Amino acid sequence: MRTGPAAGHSGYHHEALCYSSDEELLATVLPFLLGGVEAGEPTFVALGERTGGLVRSALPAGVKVEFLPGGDIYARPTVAIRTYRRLLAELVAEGANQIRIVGEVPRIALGPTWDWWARYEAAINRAYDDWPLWSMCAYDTRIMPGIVRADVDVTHPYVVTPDGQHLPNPGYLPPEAFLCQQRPVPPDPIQASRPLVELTGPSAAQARAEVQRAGQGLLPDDEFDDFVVAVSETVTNGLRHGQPPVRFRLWRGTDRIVATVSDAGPGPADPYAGLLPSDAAELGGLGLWITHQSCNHVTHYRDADGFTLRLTAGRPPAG
Amino acid sequence: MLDASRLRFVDHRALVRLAGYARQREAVLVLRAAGTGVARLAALLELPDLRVEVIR
Repeated sequence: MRTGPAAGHSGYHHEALCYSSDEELLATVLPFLLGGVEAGEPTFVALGERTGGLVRSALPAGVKVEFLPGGDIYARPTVAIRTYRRLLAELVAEGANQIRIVGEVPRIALGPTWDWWARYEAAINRAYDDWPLWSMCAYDTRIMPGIVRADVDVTHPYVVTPDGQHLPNPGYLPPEAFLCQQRPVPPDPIQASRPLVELTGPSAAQARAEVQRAGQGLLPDDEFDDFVVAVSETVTNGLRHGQPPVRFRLWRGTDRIVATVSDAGPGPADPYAGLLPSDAAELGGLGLWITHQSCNHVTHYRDADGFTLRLTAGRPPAG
Repeated sequence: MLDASRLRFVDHRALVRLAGYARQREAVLVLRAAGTGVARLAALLELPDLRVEVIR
């Protein structure tokens, strides 16, 4: 039997909590957590260091709330989805009737890489809907850019108000509608310079060789190897599922490597492509999902020339 | 056991195929690979019929 506003609801109850002071955050989050503990529901906090510390110090000693490493879970959207899906499956298998989580994306995610977190907020309405999860996504309005607020306002089907009311969100857009929208994708500043590599119709092996030649030594080995995998998967997808010509470009900066892969086709039809592993492996969905697991930012756009995927390894611009 | 330690690159399609080959034979295939990238990729794909041994 579920408790709270999700009682009678079978899947994911996804709430946005936009707060403007620490007092508002605590006034909303503490009853949420203590109510979960009282009901015997697995109850988690996945906040950043400062806000997590605030909550921790405000909770009664010994209360059975588990703190998750927010920074690790929210390293990348796909990491968060994979981690939470595994956790939720385990808890339900152990008999949980409802799981409560309050989480927040890291502050750096509110900058130039926000677009893939916006897609995350939309996609999890489906990704977590197999489980009885009630979550609050906390956003501090004092540091929240307008574009972030606009996306939060349409990706959460429910809101919790600062005075603790849990309400349906009349502005909610179903994830498929949100994910199919064309968003402006500002170029990475590094793209103002001439690409170090520019190839038309490369094989995946040629693209990998160019990345190896141009990017060696800039990043830790594991991170660089994962980027090579991502480039290879993306070029392979372009050649297999896109329309010619496939174009590959690569830039190297002092702290990051950026690659774009374009083709003349419309891009993947699946709005969740990249965020959820696709069963339709023949359509390239698994390769795109691996790419999202292997880079520090992945974004895409469509224009008159076709579809472009941009991959970033290293440190994306901070804005 | 398959020694792929001299291969410079293995993509996810190859790993999925190898795991399928092992599954058909109700076996676990051990893939020896150089570097940790293949192991990370296999872990992502959650292929119970494939185990990667990293040769340093």
